[in-house]
Amino acid sequence: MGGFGDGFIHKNNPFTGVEILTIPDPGGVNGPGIGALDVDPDDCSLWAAVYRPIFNQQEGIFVSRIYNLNPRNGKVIKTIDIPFQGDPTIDGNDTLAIARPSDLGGRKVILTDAGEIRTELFAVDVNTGAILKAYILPVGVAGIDEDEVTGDLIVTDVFSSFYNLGPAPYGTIKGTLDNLSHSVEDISLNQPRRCGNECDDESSDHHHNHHSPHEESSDESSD
Amino acid sequence: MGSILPNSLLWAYDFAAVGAAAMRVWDLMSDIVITTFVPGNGTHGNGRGVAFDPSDGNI
Repeated sequence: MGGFGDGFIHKNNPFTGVEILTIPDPGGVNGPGIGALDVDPDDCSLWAAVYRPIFNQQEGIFVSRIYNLNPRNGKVIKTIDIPFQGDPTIDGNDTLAIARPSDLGGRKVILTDAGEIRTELFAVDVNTGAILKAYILPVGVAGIDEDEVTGDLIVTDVFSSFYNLGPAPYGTIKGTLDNLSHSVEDISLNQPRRCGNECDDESSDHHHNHHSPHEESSDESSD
Repeated sequence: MGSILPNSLLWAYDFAAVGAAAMRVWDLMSDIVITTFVPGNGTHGNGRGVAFDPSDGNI
């Protein structure tokens, strides 16, 4: 199922947009595309949510695929599939953040709605792919990021505002900022530096395995 | 109205399906857009997904 992907993930200057580095999107040119990105603050590896859903023939369901990538060369470190939410013919996943929710004991998880502008946000174990918890948000989201310092979750509802939903369980709007009627998909906050050269090591590429919430292998081929 | 997250910058990707696609950088202390650009010297206006890389400060 094609999307709008140009087949690459681009690194750019944060204030001018000048391109610095290009790595391959595992989905390829005009593949399902990338809907959301985040950098793991512990090892600076890249997490990418595939935008368009992928049909898993073994399970007979559409899944939202999430990649953990080496940010230097795009090599796939890990693949996680979770059930897609919403209409697979028109929707895509535009929401992903690496976080350590306080109500999960600081455990590192992927936060994603696995769909488009949804109020149910899943906490997915970064190692097993298991869904650990589902949070119910006060607004549908199309982009999120966690502030590492406070644990607050900053989100966009696409069409009108950014919100601070506070720390887990993210059920209360602490603040609102008008986005000036822009239409926003995916957001990112600046974060303090805690990682650097980990992904220069080729040994970080060897964890190429697949996980689903049911611990079954998934088919690498899409479409 | 107070800041939703003081001392932070926010990158937000305006997508191409509605209006003009561009990356906007917000200063959340003053709640203003400090710069707007289309990544890749204007060539990547249809993008989704943005992440700040703390290892080098790029996106």
